[in-house]
Amino acid sequence: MSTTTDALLTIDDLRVVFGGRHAPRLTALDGVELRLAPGESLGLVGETGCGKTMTGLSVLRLLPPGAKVSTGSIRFEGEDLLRMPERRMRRLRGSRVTMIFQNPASAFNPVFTIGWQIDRVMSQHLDLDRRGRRERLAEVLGEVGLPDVDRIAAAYPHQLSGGMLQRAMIAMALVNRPSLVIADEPTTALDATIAAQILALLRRLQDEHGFGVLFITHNLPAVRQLCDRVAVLYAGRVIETAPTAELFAAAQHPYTRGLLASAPSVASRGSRLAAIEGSVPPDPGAVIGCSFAPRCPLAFDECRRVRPPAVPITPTHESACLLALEPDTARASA
Amino acid sequence: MSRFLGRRLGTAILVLFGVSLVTFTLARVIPSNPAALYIGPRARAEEIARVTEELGLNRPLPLQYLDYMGDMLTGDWGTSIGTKRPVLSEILDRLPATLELLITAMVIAVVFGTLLGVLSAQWRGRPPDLVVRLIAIAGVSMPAFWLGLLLQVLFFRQLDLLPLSGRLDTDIRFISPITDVTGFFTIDAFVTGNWVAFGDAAAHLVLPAVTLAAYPIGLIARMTRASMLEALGQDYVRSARAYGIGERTVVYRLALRNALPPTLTVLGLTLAYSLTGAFFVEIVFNWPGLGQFAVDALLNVDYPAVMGIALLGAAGYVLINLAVDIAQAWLDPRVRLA
Repeated sequence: MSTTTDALLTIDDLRVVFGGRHAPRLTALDGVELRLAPGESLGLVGETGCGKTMTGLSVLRLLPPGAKVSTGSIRFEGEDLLRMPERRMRRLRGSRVTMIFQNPASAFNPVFTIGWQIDRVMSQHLDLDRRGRRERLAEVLGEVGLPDVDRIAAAYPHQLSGGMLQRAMIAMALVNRPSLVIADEPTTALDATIAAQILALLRRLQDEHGFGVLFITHNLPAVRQLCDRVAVLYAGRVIETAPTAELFAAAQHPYTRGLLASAPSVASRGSRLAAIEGSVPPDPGAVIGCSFAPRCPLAFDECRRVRPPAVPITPTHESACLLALEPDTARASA
Repeated sequence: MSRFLGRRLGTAILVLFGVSLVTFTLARVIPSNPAALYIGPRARAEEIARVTEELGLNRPLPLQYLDYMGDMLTGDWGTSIGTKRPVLSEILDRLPATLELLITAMVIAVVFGTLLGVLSAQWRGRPPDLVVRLIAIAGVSMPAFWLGLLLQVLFFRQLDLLPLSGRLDTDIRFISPITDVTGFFTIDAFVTGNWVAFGDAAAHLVLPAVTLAAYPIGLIARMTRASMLEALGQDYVRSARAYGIGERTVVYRLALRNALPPTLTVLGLTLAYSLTGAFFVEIVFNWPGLGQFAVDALLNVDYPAVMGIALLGAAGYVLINLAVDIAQAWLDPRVRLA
């Protein structure tokens, strides 16, 4: 395991709960563990409701009302974000850590121009005069493939296409030269061809500028295109993490394998798509054993009693499954 | 934008034309004899016939309407039956007082209504929100004449802070008379540096303006609260926060700008309502505006005066809504650039 000093982002045992006092308590994140090295691109995948977005919002400390972190730590560039005063946290948002949202059409304010909105993000964090900001705006719009600076800057969101807006969003995310970009389903609202362009753009910009990316998605091919490493989230826990190629080639966890099998591909054309039966437990915090056990085709008695720890399979590949622990003994007892 | 303006102006003129037609027709079908009223009690038959002839009341209605329109456009709004003076000058004499009251009340209503609405949305469900909602309900449900009396009792009789009624203390006319510039006493006194009169005029303005503002404050506060809550829940607010934008900018600039259009629409409608409200308030506070004149005109079937006032009200309403439409377009590029 990498030491925390050279990590860009380290999330340890992060628990986020909903409700409390009046509403029933529900666990959204059930001990998430993540490591992100500087300049690394980490894909965070899982199905809807597994806690992907919640993880991203936790890093910025922008959880929706009613949700709160109960335990755990989030260290960014060596500092504990959960203990940081709100003032310093606000200086971090939009400068060192930025976010790209799922739907660019609603993420921009409809009554201000794109230029004004990006400029506002600059003036909030940078000590640049109007001309300096104008130059930086032109530079960053050029980088994201919007070279017609004057037109884009003067445009209101409703005057641009989804693809252009997402490029502008990326420009806003990069304008203050962050070291971490959280991309929350950045291509879900876009056409397939535009989505591919946006992913290629992100990959290229990341190579050029060396910022880390936390890429939140349920789109496995996109992960393959963009990410160095993948963490699979299930019911608020990271159940498997591995370098991208290794995960796609040799996934260990039954859930990951189900997820990979359920993704349509050219090779599987004509055959019936595999599906994982059942659904995510409503409150993962209430499950005693492995939260995937009720849906797992390989589950045995022990799975319902013991919460599986993260087991190293190779130095870079971990899986939270009892089968990974001692495959032979585990099967024998089944 | 110019096409948008042209279209709006076109409708405005059409509405005014329609209103003139309606007021004219109504004034003519009201079962009374204007000529008899004009002469006064104990009018003799030949006198009535002469005045009927003189006022053109025996001509066909469409012709009377054309005459009427022609006269209106050339500034001849007829002669008041009650005061025997030209209606237009009667109205123009009193209009500045009414406008001063109305505009002051609206400024108060917009500023406080919006502010209260924003605070209420920001503190949703907590004590400040409850207080604002209480104020809003009180403002909307309290009749103006009653609120006016309450304020008079409190601020004049109990606290002795503000004058009871009128537009100016009588002695100001002798100590420090106001030079007429706009007809708005506060502005005239201010621009001529007449501080004594300014203070007095402003003090006289407070209670009636607040009374008149109560209803629109309540309405605007509730509307702003609702539209602010919606705006604060939008994605763009979350992204602004995710980019470290300060909370004050997020609320008062980014969200409020989106929340204003619905408030503006309500404001346009309220203003028209407040014009009639102003008449009540003027009577309670003995404010020398159009109120007393309008009420007298109505009670005495002084039809030239009634028509003049109705047309003025309609023109005000149309103008206000035109202004609201333009403001909407200015605030929202999706309207402006559509």
